[in-house]
Amino acid sequence: MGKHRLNRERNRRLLNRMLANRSFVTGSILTLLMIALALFAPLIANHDPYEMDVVNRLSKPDAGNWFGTDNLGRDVFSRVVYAAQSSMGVGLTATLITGALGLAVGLFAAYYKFLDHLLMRICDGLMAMPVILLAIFIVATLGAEIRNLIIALTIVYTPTIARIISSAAIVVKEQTYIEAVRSQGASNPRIIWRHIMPNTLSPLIVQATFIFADAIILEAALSFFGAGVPAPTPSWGNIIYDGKNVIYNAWWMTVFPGATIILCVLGLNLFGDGLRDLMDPHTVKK
Amino acid sequence: MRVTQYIVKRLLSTIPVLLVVSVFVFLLVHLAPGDPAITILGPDATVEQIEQLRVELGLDAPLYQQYVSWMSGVLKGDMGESVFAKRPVLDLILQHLGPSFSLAVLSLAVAILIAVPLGILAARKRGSLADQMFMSLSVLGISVPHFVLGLLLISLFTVRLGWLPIGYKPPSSGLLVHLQYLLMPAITLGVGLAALIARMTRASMIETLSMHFIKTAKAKGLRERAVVYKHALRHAFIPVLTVIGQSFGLVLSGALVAETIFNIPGMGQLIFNSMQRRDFLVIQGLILFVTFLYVLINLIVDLLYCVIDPRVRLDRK
Repeated sequence: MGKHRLNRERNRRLLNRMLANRSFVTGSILTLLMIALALFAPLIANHDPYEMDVVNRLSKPDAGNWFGTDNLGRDVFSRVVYAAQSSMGVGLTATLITGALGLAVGLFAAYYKFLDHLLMRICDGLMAMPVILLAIFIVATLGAEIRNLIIALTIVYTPTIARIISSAAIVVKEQTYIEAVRSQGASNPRIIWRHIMPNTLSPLIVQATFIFADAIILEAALSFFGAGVPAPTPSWGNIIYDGKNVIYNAWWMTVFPGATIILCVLGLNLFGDGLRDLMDPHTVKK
Repeated sequence: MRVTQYIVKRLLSTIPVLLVVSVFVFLLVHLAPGDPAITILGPDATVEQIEQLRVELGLDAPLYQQYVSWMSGVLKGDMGESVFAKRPVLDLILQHLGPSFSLAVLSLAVAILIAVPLGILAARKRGSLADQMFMSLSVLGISVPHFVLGLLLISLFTVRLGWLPIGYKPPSSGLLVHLQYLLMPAITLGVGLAALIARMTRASMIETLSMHFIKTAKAKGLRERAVVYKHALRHAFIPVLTVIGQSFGLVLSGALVAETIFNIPGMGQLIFNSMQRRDFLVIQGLILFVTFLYVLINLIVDLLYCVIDPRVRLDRK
């Protein structure tokens, strides 16, 4: 009975800390809004995002088309709403794969000394290249498809996660309880999986949030260079790409998807900031 | 003596990194679908012409041989010749280096000039309304993608108001004109940088101001301004310097975007055009060059630590 009381008390304190952290709350709300946009796109959009109406191309925002129409007469509002699916979908997939891969690489590098040098050199090499250059290069080489986009994002971001996990894992590895477990006869894989890995999860989750935010920006930037989500599937970046040449007369094709990207990324960054504050036992908020 | 040793050691350790990058770039370029010879000659080329060009470019040799001959050339300072410009790759790169360098320096200057004073101010007035506004603005600054900001600036200052031009004029046309063309791109890149630098400045200042030696300085009766700017700033600046060093990488990345939007003939534009034209020697050479620059800048930043903080010993670990 006492244990349940203690658990509830601990959970309530955690909830209070979460609600008191303004970054976390604002970030969570914005992020949930964006996720809702992606999940409920068919309900929110009032037009078919692929339907062309060339007579009404590049028309200003009005009652019928809240965000105006694009160069093929498609409704920009609906395209922006549906774009949440591709932009966030690509970002999320890339983040999940990066997280898993980076975790594996980081843990192995930390635990097995001979792998460490090799893997970290490769990571250094990849991290030494400017991110967008690397990404455009990979997509330009492999071809502009969603699958290659995700591959490019994964290659770009995995080294960062691998380094962070590796640093955290090295610290954990030196702790006495690892020695204790090993002397009890635990095998290496078991030590890595059950004891070292759980303690590297909190920096992983925080960093993954920031990478998700970065991935959304990078996908948009790649689309801007024509190397992102291929037409006609809308993504926030490629709506801006379509509007690039007509920015002088059709500002809405830049402003609305741009503002949506900013809101989404802002939400994720705030969420990550808040998460980091909550998970770090050293921060004391005044 | 120790400094020289350290520099040599660091430069040596960049070799494996550059090696990894060179292999990666080379493989990616040469395993790509699409034959460079076909792209260069166009769809009307005959099979003989394509074969001839391939032999000329050395594309018929086995992959590792091509890599070795390329790398041995690079080590002698010869990165090959651009197929399109018919000029040495290194020449092309150096020609395009100027505008990118100007943009990078200006962006960083804009960022530091905005960020450091604001960061210090926010640290001094911690917890106040100004501080909270600062924090909100700085998160916003990181969240805005470069190209969105750039496009918005153009649509406002060039299209609507006609105040600022797009394009590039070298410093020889007059410093003011040169800066006029670079102002918008510098702001585009500088805003994101400023947000990062400002946050780090604030965090570092807050930590420094709570240290004992600051209390001592205040107890000795020094005015607050002297305490903050003369004593605290020097100590707080170290992590800020790290961020500034990392910013160079971000500026190089962002330069690609900014140069394309604002039509600046820098390295970003060069690589973009080269990728489209499959000018593979330029692509390889440029990526290697940029990586080398990046690594060099990190080295310089690390060396600057010694100037700022004499306690730092170069042989860490």
